[in-house]
Amino acid sequence: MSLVLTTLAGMYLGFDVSMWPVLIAIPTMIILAVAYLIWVEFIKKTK
Amino acid sequence: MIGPADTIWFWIIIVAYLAMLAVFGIISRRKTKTITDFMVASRSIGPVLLALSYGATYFSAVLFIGSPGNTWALGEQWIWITFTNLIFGTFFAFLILGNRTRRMSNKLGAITLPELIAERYQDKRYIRQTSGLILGVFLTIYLVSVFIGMAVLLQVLFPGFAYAFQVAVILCGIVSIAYLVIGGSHGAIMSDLVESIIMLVGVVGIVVGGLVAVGGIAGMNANIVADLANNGVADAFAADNAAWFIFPNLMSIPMIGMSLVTAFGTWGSPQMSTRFFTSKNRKSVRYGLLIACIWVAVVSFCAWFSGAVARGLSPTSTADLKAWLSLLCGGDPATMAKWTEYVIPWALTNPNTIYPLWFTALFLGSVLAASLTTGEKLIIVGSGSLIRDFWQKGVGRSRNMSDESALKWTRMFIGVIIVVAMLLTFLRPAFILDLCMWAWACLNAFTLVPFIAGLYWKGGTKRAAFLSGVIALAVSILWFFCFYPKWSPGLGLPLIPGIFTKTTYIHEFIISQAVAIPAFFIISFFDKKKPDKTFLEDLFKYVKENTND
Repeated sequence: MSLVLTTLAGMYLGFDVSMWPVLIAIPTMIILAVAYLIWVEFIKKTK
Repeated sequence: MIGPADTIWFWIIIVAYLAMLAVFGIISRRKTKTITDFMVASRSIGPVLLALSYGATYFSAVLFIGSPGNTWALGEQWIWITFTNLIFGTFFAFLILGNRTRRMSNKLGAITLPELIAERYQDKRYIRQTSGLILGVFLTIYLVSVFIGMAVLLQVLFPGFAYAFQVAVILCGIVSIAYLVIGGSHGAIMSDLVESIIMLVGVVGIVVGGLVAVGGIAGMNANIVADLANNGVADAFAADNAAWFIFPNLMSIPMIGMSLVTAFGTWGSPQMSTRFFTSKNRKSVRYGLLIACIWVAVVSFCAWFSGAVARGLSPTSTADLKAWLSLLCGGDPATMAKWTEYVIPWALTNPNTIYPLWFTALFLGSVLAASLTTGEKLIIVGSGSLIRDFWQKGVGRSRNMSDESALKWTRMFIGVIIVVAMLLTFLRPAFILDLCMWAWACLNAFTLVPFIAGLYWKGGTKRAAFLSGVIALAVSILWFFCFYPKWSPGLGLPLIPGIFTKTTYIHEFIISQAVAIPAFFIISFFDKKKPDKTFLEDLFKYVKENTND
């Protein structure tokens, strides 16, 4: 999801291709943080 | 240029800001009765305040003023630092250190990092008093850079006044003393909430405002391409203009080095790790992780990207900036050599600026907030380390100083540290920023490895913790004096010249840690005096317990 969103954002905004990885990497970290929180607080707890 | 008549906006922002700090200081006074309240905010901080306090302490004025200059001159790839700051400096810092640090400090009753390390290794004297002294000394040196950054900016309040810098330094000192002595950590963390929002608004505003003015990313890129071409051979990318936009390129090695230093350096920095001491429970750290990641991602990205936005404001931006600076400093060669530090001041205050005056004033507030949020932690941790670790539990332990007296002396030493930092700031040494980076490496040299290893590994011994710290500190000091290539002429330094240049110098942080890590494990392995197993079993059982306290 992060990949698709940032690629679309990059295409729309016109960022140079070489800078796309960082624009993918940053939101991916945020998504990882959300996933971690959901895992430890909701999924792991109910197991 | 900013004239005397324009300073009204600056005064409005500064007075409102100081009033806010005073209110927080007074509110916090009621919550500050013991030394634990004062140093670690009663271990009562929830996820939002923990995350914002962590982020605000992480970034000082250097990110807002120094970083954009790197992007401008060395290419868009510097935005990658956001990623390492996010993944290692924030995400893994919370994940690996957060809850273990909180629980271990709670179990051991530690309120400072030296105290945590000393109690963890059951050291009665050497680790505690040595690291207490080192922290007190080097955090004060570090504070000088924060004061210089603040004072340089606050000079705009006194246009045309010959002693503007000195008055600004005194203003910084008085503000810091006033609210820190009263409110301690409670006041500092409460003010972090508002300060982090001001920082966010300022740095996002500079990027969004710039992009809107030049017609978005496409307009910005077109101006940068034109500026690169106009700049000719004076530019680092003269041979290949397109390389400015590309990662990796010829400037990638310094960027990778700095991104790792700024990411991992937070792990052993006492002002950062003690953020986790203040957290209330496990949820504070877990939810705080997400909030901190979002805040760090936005603020760091915008700060590094603002260098690109500033360069993209005009097709002749580099020439415009140098002409503006030459007028400002009267062509002073020393100032002109540091033109990249004036990227953001130029963008905000040049005669054709696209930013309104009120926004410039708001951004000044952002930079002031960034400085104070870092400076206040340095002051509290430095003062606490000197009184609590060096004196109360160290050199002066035979005097049996009570916690009440320690609190009074810690408050008093906040004033002492600020006054010493102010006096050093008046001297304004030329290479102060690099000196502070060295101070930062020295702090980590003594604390990083014993701290992190102590959270996870039972095998570390107190001799290993102490000796690896001493060795790493010695390496850090010697490396700086022997090889640092930017010493001022006439000092007879570096002792071994010609090995490194400005672009190939390996930071003393990396070297000292490369020595400290093997030293710690080798000494622990051969040390016959092993730690007490019962104590460690009990401690690690508590740290690993699956409770939400």
